[in-house]
Amino acid sequence: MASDEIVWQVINQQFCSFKLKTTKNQNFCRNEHNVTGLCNRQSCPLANSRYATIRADPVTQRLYLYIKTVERAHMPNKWFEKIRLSPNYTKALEQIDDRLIYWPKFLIHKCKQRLTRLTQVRVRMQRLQKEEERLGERMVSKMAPKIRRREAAREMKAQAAAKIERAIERELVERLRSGAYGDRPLNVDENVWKKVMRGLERSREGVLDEDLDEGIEEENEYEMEHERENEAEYVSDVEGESDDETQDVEDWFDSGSEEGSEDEDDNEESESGSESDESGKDDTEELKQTLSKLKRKRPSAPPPKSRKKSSKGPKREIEYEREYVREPLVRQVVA
Amino acid sequence: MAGLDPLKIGNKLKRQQQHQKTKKAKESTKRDERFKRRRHEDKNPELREARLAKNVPATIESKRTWDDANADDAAEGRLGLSVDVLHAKRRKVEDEEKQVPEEINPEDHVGDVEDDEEPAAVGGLEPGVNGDEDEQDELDSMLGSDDSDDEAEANAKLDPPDRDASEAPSAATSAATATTDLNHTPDALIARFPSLFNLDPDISPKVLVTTALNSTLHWEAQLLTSLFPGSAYVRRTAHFRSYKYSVREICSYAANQAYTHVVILNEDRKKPKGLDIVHLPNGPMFHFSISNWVEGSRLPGHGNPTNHYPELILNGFRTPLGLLAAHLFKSLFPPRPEIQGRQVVTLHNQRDYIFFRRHRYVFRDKRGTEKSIQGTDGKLMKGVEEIRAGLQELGPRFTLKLRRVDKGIQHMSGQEWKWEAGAEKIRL
Repeated sequence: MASDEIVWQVINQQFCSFKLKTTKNQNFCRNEHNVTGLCNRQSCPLANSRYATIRADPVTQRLYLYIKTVERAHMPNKWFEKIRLSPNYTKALEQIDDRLIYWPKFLIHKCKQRLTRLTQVRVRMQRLQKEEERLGERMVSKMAPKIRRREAAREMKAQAAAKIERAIERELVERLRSGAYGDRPLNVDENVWKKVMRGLERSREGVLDEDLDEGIEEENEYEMEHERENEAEYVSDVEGESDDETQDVEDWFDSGSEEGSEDEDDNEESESGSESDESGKDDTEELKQTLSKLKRKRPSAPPPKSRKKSSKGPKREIEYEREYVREPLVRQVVA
Repeated sequence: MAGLDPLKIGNKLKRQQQHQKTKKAKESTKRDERFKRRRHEDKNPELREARLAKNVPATIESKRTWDDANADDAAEGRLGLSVDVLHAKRRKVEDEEKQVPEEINPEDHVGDVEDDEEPAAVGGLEPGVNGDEDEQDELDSMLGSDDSDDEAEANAKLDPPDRDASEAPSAATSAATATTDLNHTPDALIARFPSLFNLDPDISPKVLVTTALNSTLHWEAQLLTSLFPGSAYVRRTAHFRSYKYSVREICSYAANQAYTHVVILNEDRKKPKGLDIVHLPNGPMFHFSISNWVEGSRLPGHGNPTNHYPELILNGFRTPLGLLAAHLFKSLFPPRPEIQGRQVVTLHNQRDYIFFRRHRYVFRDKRGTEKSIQGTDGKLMKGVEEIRAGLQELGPRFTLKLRRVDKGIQHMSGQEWKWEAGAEKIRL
């Protein structure tokens, strides 16, 4: 006990490594066993051979009562004995009362105060932790600058390689061409849509024309029939066909059965052709009328096949038979 | 004078002059050769085609290494594998093809042609027929299934040596940016995420847009509502002491209110940093990071969006993970676009960066000074040589990068896939 005085004088007047001086002339004690946290004669754990504190275990957050007694004053590493307190606050208070009975009131009071404060802290921490878990938000650290810069550079290069607008244009035109927008698309201007349709037919006919060329060179009957069906049935065959018809008929009367099959085929076709000729003629007249009203240009170049065919007769306008059910161009123009 | 070695001229001025001279001479010989070649090739276009076919430039896309899909069952289920889905399909078909030639010869050609045309889906040959089908279900206007002359390309490395037999062209570069055919998802993937893949075409998506806690990006979040039709923006709890609703709670609330997605906008110093998309009710959660968010008003020549349902273009999603992301984006927008609105939303995936763009388009005649549109193989598109599409950019543009896919909602539910920085290093 006498040594306490000496210790205090040294600590207070000369040097204490735990002392922390602040403005406003307040001294704090950084010693971990200090009950109050202030540097006082009564609060100093070094200058009191009988001392008690409450401390929390850092891992489990349990509260322990640390008691320092005179009997162990000569064994500094065994100064404090650690007593676990009940998690129940009132029971813990009773435990303190029980353990620190007959001790100076200051220490008992300060220990109880510290107990109160530490339980409050514990409760608050638990509440925060639950809130964090409920929110489920995690701390995401910022990306390392090296990686951030690398990604930015790569993004620029990827954008350059992507050519996004070209890809978009290509995809949209592909959809238009493939007919994904339907028969009369709402997102296209009529002229443009007509162009597309014409372009498609031209490309399709281009494919067929190749076959037809081969057919004519080989002079295959089947190919000739094919070409007549697919093409300018109404108009371009009129004169040529009538001539052929009469010629063929005469031949048929004159000669034998070899040409009979050909003639029959021609006759059948000429009949269908003549019927469609009339409808074709009507259509062309209608078309001419509407066109004169609207003053629009006709499609520029008819395919080369038909030119060859109508080289004999006067120039005719050509109508194409559609492969699938569709309103003819005429009506679209009017609408 | 120039001397023996032009680099060893001591006089700096003279050295520079000499360098300029030699450079000029070299460049002029190159130029002459180029023009000579051009004139020569203008007369014989086959030479140009042959030269271009031989000198295909090596791109990062063409150098991509794919993982081996060992057992198809194991491969199709997981997301981490870098497997070209279309390539896998193509290989299967080719294996079938190879079995056919063992039989009688005349049947060879029939079998080969059929099998080739099925996966390649060469829609270019008969657009009319396919067009009729598409009229019936306009849902397919977003799917490029019939539009693909550029489909079913594969990495040249993994291809078997007898490549020439197949009809479809194999150019790896075109595959990288090809329009994703969403029909080619592996079945195992569909089985794992049924709600995401088997979308009811009648259900219109309902999106709940919100931000992270304590965020200030209210205007950007409003922009997102204009982006997704059928969406609403709800602010997060503002007051310091009030109850903060968690993401899980928001999702359960949204699911009860018949929402289909929850979109959360993350912030970093007043700029959008990330996008978290939750597929309700308890579906996978996708975390994207945003870079280069540019608002519409800052784009030159921008337009103002209307509330027509936009069309969707999804490019370059090739792996199972990519297809998952593509289906997510598809599900965010109404299935039937209003084409009279002429608006298109594009999500273009290039080297794992998903570029988001929004345009208003118009089909117009090609001006005299313009070139015609080229297909992905480099050849002009037939039938539409005189057509160009004009694009006016609307609304925000940004770049997304997928960082994480959670099985449920939030990190605690486990990760389907996670982005790792180390994986981007290419070590040979």
